[in-house]
Amino acid sequence: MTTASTKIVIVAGNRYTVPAETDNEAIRQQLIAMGFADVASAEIKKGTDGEAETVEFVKKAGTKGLDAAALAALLARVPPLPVRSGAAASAGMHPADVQLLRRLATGQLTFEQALEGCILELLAAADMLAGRAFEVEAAARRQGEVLCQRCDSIPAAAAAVPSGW
Amino acid sequence: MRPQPAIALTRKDCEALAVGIEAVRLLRAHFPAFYAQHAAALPAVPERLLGAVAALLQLVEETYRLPLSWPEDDMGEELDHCEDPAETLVMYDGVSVEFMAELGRHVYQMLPAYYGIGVQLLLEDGYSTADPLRLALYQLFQHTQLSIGVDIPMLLEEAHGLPAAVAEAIGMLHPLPRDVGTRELCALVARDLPEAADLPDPGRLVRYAFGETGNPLADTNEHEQIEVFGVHPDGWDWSQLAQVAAWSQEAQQLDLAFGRWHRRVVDAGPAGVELLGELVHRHARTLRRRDKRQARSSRALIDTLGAALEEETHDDDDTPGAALAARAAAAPAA
Repeated sequence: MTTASTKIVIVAGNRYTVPAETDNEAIRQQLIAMGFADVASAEIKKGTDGEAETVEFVKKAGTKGLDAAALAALLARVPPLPVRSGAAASAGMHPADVQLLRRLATGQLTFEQALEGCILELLAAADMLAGRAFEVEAAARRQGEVLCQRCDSIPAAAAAVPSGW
Repeated sequence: MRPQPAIALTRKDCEALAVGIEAVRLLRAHFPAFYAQHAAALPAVPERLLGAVAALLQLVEETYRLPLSWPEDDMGEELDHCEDPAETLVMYDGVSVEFMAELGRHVYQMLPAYYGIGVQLLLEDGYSTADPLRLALYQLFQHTQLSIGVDIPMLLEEAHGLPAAVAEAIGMLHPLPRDVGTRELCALVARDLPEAADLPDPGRLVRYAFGETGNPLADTNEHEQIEVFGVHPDGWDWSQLAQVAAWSQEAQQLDLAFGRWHRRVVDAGPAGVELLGELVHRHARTLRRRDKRQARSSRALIDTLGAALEEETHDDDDTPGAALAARAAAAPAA
């Protein structure tokens, strides 16, 4: 069943339901990171289906479609919408811990509640997870830089396409 | 069930919050009454967490008489605080994540103030001292275990501002013999120093000049550590609070007492230097005489016991142990 709290992702004719807060670019990045590079150039077409928002990844002609089961597994792992880049910190944490951290982040804990909730350990875990997210970003940046350097070093060649194309 | 949105916490956020909450934990551990009355119910928001850091440092300084190194802002201004730690808790309106994260250096370890005289600095180019008390002590002890490893005539040459007559008096001081027992000598000298009267270990006042008191807060200082070793002085675990406080109190006493002694020697001019030399040599002579007496007594005892043993080997009727004990008891008192 789809409601306003869910979002329908359409890829290669298949439909999948994810939380409404899930960011479209986060879905795309997650798919790319997992090896589905052809999603990188796909266009996103938005629409509605009843109360639910639909997001369709329309790939360029000739690209290979994703295996439905693999996509379903991937989408289930896409984190909810991060508010900031390091916000993946909450991914992988117990919901009760996430709730406690949220209360801390929004100023709803007292000193005593913070200590009783072992918030120091939770912050250490969140810090580690956020660190991982940054490491992934840094690695992606490095790869991009290497690619740019390679492109820069390719010698110019005569154009093979007809003039005026 | 509607999924919960993610938390907007960057690594820096986590780091900053953890610093503040660690300060809260230390407040509760070391000042439970204060914590229960003033802190426990405060919201754990950044500005109150900064208040917790400042109140913690303030309470440690006041309760344990342990001056600490305080955090500074970009302008070199120390973190401000109220007279009353309870007011300090709630005095801040805001704090940046970056500043809060940097406070970790002052929270995860205790950073006490250091009171050492900076002896190691004299080994560095461009550093000298014109303190006649220090120079006189370095001249006197230059061949002993307390030697600072610096050429004293060169130090005297570089002692700009030192009156020529005082420098000459220092240069005339006869160095102590190499084998003098410095620990005992320092203790004996300190007995005659009014400035050392209230110190728990008076001999440390003399050793303070050499950075050899054994008190880590009295044997070095922050400037020296940074200049010579390129690092800030060690921090200490909060579990050592009582020990570090005791060191700090003694180091402060030594610093003040040495300052008073220094003043007395400066005021007395060359005569003050000569008197110091006489005092040190008089006690050194006392030690030497005592050592000679002890050596003679030891030899006498060894001779007596040796004779007893020799006699015992020819006496088959008595048990060796009983005869030896009887001879030793009959030996003249040392």
